[in-house]
Amino acid sequence: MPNMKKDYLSLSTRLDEILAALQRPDIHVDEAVTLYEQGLLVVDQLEETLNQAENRISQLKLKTSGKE
Amino acid sequence: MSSDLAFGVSEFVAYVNQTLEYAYSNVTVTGELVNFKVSKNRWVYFDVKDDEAVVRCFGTVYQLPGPLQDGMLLAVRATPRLHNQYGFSLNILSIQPVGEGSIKKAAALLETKLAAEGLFDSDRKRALPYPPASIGLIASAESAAYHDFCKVINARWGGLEIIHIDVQVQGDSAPAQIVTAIEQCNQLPLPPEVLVITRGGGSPEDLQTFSTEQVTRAVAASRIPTLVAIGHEIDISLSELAADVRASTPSNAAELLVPDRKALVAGLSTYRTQLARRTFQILENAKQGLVGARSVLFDMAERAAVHTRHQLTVKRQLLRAFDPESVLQRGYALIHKEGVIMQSRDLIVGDVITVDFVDGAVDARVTDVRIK
Repeated sequence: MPNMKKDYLSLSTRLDEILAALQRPDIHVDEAVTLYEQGLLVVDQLEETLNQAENRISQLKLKTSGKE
Repeated sequence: MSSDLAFGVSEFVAYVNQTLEYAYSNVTVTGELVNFKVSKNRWVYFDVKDDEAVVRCFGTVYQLPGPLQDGMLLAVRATPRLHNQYGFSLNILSIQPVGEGSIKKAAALLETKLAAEGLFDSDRKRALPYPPASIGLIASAESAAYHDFCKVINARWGGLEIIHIDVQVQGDSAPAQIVTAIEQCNQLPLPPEVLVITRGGGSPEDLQTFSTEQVTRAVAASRIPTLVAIGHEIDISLSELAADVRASTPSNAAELLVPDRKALVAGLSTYRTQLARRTFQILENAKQGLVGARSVLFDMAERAAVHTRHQLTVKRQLLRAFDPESVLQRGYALIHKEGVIMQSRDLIVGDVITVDFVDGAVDARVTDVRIK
């Protein structure tokens, strides 16, 4: 089962890095376009991660004699 | 069986206890608490009474839901016993304050006691991981609280491991079950990152499990950060005060634990806009740069052209200056004899020369040569 937290946090971090890189005053046009395309890809992945992931509920039996 | 039985004293005590055990193994007696005493920090003695009768109770401090005080109304679940020396008493199994007044009184006494121990101190509170990857959920599987919590958390977030322990959340066995469930989660090889303990609304009696000393201490002692949501907003139990985070309702617990993915997905469009705007700005700057460069080049070309034109003009002027025609126009004449003669020494007397004027030419013979 995908670990949404890890995926979500790593994708978010990557997006922040891209946005930060785009803020560099000396950024070259080619690099900017590449980063832009990568950024869009990351946003799509974030969207998919957020929409797709489901929770898994498992039952743990109470140690004592259980419910009366 | 004949009604006239004869016993020795201890035989009689044994017979009565056997009858009691058979007929009334467990009873719950509700009455007002009087003469409450604790001996050697271990043994508990008190009486419960009503307007017409009083019954003695005996137990240990471990069966107390918390500090008690004379005048409280209690429901004592006990085993009736006839003791060889001390006569009849109810041997306590569990005690529950009854009625809002006693419940509040008991909670207030316990709160004071536990507060003095620092159980509710704010500097003990730990932040919950946000979002967590795994949750331990202690709730009754049949409760609305469980379903509300699961419904909201599933809507808001995904990819969670939720380990649910089904417990009773009210009644005599509830406290022990909840304490066991908390310990069980803490002892898992891979404990969940957060422990959620929740139940829905109910009467003060229904909710008092979460204000018992054993449950409140178990919450405070959990190594896993705890989030407790008991009843409605207005109901505050001691377990909630001891928890790292309190939520007002089971749904609110889910809201505090995880982000809302719908809001995040909606927010993604601003990222797309941000990416596009910044990239467009960079392209625009680059374009401006090109425009700038073009105008610089244009200027340079312009200047070069001007310079070239200027040079051409100068050269033209020079050419014109050196143009024999213009020299003749200024009154000079051009002498040549098989090519242009530049110096008098190039001639000798008798040479025939041609002299060009602006308006024509003449032939002449050299009669004398003078060298400067």
